[in-house]
This record gives sequence, structure tokens and C-alpha cells, in this order.
Amino acid sequence: MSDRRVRAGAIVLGAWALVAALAPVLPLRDPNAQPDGLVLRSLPPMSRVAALRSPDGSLRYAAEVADEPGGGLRFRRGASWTTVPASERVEVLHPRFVLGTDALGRDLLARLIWGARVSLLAGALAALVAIALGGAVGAIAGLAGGSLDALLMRATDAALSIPRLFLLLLLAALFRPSLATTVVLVGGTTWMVAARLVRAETLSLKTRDHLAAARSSGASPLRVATRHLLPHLAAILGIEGSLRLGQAVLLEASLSFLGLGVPPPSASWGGLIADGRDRLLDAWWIATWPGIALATVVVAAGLVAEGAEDRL
Amino acid sequence: MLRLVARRALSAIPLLAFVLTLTFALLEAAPGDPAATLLGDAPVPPETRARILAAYGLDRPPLSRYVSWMTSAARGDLGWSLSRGRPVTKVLAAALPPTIGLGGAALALQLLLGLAAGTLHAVRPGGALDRWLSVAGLVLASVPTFWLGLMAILLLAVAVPLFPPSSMHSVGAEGWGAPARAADAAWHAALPALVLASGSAAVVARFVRAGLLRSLGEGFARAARARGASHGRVLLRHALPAAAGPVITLAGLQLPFLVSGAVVVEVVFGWPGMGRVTYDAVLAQDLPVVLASVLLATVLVIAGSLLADVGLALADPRVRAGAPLVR
Repeated sequence: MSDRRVRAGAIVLGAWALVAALAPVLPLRDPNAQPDGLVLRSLPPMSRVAALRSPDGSLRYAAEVADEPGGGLRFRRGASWTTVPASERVEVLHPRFVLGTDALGRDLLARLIWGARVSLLAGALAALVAIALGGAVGAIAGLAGGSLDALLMRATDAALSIPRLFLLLLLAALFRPSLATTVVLVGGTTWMVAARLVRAETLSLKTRDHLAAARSSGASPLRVATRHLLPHLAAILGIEGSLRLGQAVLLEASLSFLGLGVPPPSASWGGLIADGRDRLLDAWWIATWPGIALATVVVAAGLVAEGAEDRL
Repeated sequence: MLRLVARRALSAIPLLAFVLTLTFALLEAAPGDPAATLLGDAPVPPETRARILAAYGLDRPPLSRYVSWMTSAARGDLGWSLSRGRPVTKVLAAALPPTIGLGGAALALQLLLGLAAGTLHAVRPGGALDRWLSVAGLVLASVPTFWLGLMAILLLAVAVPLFPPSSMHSVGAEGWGAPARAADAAWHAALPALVLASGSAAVVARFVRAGLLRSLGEGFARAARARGASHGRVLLRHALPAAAGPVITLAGLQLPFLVSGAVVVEVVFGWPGMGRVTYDAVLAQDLPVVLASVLLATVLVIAGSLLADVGLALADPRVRAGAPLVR
């Protein structure tokens, strides 16, 4: 049972990571190109439009193409028809937009996959920051004990009771939004659970003989922490990291949705949902896909964490 | 009971001092020149600039500003909102009731739905209903709240117009009587509260399920079973009360997430509460409002978890008698 959950979650996460990593070589349209704001605007999923390819390779999109009686074609953009003489030798294509397009005529499939790069990168880095920071605080508190332990744990409790998004709003108001600040902010506000877990684990590991042996044979505190403590913490850090990944992807999406995360044009999933919010009533698909994508990542990360925890 | 409340209230003071210190430190650490933010790009003679800085106290050393920051906050003076031209306390006082109303409704829904779903889980553990509820709960807890809000608007306010898509009152509600206004506000709150509650309700349901399964295996439940009580009766009358107590503690622990979630839900539904006000203030670079709302949101969480502890004490005679809270 637990194995299956871990495997299913890992497959989904791995597939997303693969697709995101391969985005530049996949046969996708340019995620930021707006080739035709009139014909391609807010196309529903699975839409086909007509496109005229000239011999030089340039594309002209059209809502409708018809044959001219005397040879050649005419095509419609908006309300106006244009005639193309037979001598121009255009080729008529019917490209499909699998997930539809947004209000500016950008391809949503390409934007979703390129958005995965931003969202997953920000989420994974933020989870790493949270794990590293929380692990360091927890290990120091657990190893040091005494008043330093008390102080660090009081700070952890205090940080836990500040509603995270309000703190993130304040930080977003103070620091210019970018991928780096988003990673640091999300990681810097989500390390507390890891700190508690690691401290508790450290306290129980501290009483074991191998740590006492390492200490008494003269190992420095840093060496004790990295060589003798860290290997035992790897499992819980991995589980917590998986949970953090899901939550960090969500938090980053919230920030980007509010326009305070990763700035455009490198749209993350949260930013894509924000684009769709303005068009919710006439183009439901714009906001729908990135939300589903987010949910698959968070569910997968949760499954991995849950299955691994049960196996522990 | 009074001692519990007093002790918790006292322990909140260092926490609030910590939040104030943290926000002050963040302000100091932030890049950018406060004078430039205040004055904009307009060319200003140096003496005017100095006067403006002095008026805001920005010419004093950091330590002196820190002391006055802490003392004025302790007196309840949270500064002046630049974007709204009113004291920050007035701005937030107007935004607090809608947020408490929305948060309270969401909290009630979260407990109600969580207890109901958790009980359904435990009717036949391992059965189809149990499994499907698990999947639904996992999905609900994993989708982004703001996206769920958009989908709820799309489905329940536009496709099937059961609920209003945004704001807190109908147009023209000012002239209505108090009961009609209250019903109108509740109708407007239903969808945002449901969206805000759904993720936490899934967590509560899992928790209730685990508690029920534990209780069902214990002596009192098996004794009731042995006396001939039906499975449903044992579940509802014997196991559920035993499993419900810790849920109150869980609800208290979930409060920060509820208050955080309120920010995006308020933005999505145009709800005029603290989240919306804070968001607008961030966009307007109105820092005093943002700082104060971080503080106020923390106070809300502390007050809420205090209420949860009081509720637990009322529900559990062991805690009432002064035994240590089991965490």
C-alpha cells in the first residue's frame, strides 16, 4: 500500500520534472509569442484554426478560409475578408490548440509547460531552503540544549503563530518580487515544522552511543552534526521536504496569483491563474488548467510523504 | 478557567513584542530609501527633504525609532495610513468584522463538514465510501484555495447562479432592515466561507476518522456494542464525543492557515476584510497598514487558539480540573 503511494507520487512528480526540463526541446509554440491577437484570442481547448503558410515560411492565421471562384483563396480575420491570388502559392494548415489560448492569443499548453519550470523550480528551491534552515535550527537547538535551545524553540513557536501569507505580503511589499526573493521568502517562512522535527529527532539521537563516542573521541560539533547526525535525519528530512515541496508550490502560486511572486513574462502557474481570473466568465479554460496542474503536484508530493512516513 | 485565560493572555505579550521587533527589523533591512518612497521622483530642496524626514521621525537613530515604535504600538497607536488618509486603527477596525465573520463561518463549516465526513469514513472503514472520501479529501486539501474560489464562482455563481459571485452586500441593501441585511450578508458569505473551509475540513475529517477508529476499539465502545447498541449508535453516541475533543485543539492549530487563506479568498471574492485591505495596502506601498495587519492577524490567531483551549477545557473535565493540556 505505502509502496504504491510513493511510486504513484514519484511518477507524477518525475513526469512533471521531465516535461519541465525538456520544455525547450519539446515541439511547443513560443509561450510568450502573441502571433495573432485577433484570430487566436481566447480559443477554447481543442480548437482548430486555419493558417496560411507562405513559401517563405511565415504564417497568417485565419478564422475561415474559402476557395475563390477563379483560383486562389480568400480568408477571414474578424469581419474582413482578404483575397490571396493563386500565384502566391500559400499552403493551408489547420493547427490545433489542445488546451486553448489566453486572451492575448498565447498557446496555453506551451504556457502551462513553461510555467511548470518556474513553479517547480521555485517550489523545489524554497523547500530546500526551508529544510536546510529548519534542519540547522533544529539540530543546533537539539545539540546545544539549555538556553539556546529554549530561545530557538520560542522563536520557532512565535514564527509559527504569525499567519504566513500576511508575513509574505509584508515581505513582498518590502522586497522587489523576483524568483530569488520568492524562493527565500517562501523558504524563510516555512522552516518551522522541520526545525521541530529535527530537534526532537536530535534529542533522541543524542543519547545514543555513537554520538557520545564521536564526541568523546574529539570530533568537533560541526563534524558530529554533519557526519553522525545528518545521515540519521535524512529520512525525516526527505519526508518533510516532500510535504514542503507541495506546500511551497502552493504558496508561490498564491503569491504569483496576487502579482507579488515571480514577475512576468516568465509566468508561473499562479500567474497563469491570475491571467484567467480576468477572463473567468468568457474563457473558463485559462484559469482551469494551471489549477489542475498545481493540484497534481501537491497530491503527488503528499502521497510520497505519506507513503514514506507509513513505511518508516 | 480564569487562570488558564490569564496565563495564556500573558504569554501572548512576548509573542507580540517579537512580532513588532521582527517587523521593525524587516523594515530596517529592506532595500530602498524611505525618503525616496515618500517623496517620489519630484525634485525637492534638501531642507524640505530634511523637514519631511523629521516629521516622520526618519532622521533619528534606529534604536530611538525602535523604542518609539514599540511604545506607540503598546498605546494602540499603529500609525497613519498614507493611502487612505486615516489612522491605521480606523482602517483595520472597519476591516476586522468582515474577516471575523468570514473566518468564524469558515471555522464552523470546517468543524461541521469535518466531523460529518469523518463519521461517514468510520461507518465502514476500508469500504468504498471510506476510500472515495479519502481521495476527495486529498484533492480538496491539495488544490490552491484561490483556484477553488474561482471554480466555485464559475460553477455556483455563474453556471448555476445560486450564490452571488462577489462582495458582501447586495446593491441597495443599505436601506433594508437588520434581519434582511444579516441574511443578505450570510448569503454572500456562504461561498467564500465554504471555499475557505474546504481544505481544513479535509484535514479535520482525516483526524476524526483516526480518532473514531481508535475509540471504536476501546473498552467503552466494545462494552456498548456488547450491551446490544447498534453500530450507528456506538459511533454517534459513544465514539464521536470521545473523538471530538481533540478536534477543537486541531482547529486551534489550523487557525493560522485559515487566517492566511482568508487573504486570497477575500481577494477572489471581493470581500472587504483584512486580507483585501492588506493586499490593497501592499499594492499602494502603504506600509503602516501592512505592518499593523500582520500584528492584528497574529492577535487573531492567538485569540482563536485561546478560545480553542477554553472550548477544550469546557468540553473535557480533565483539562477543566487543571490537568496539563495534552498536545
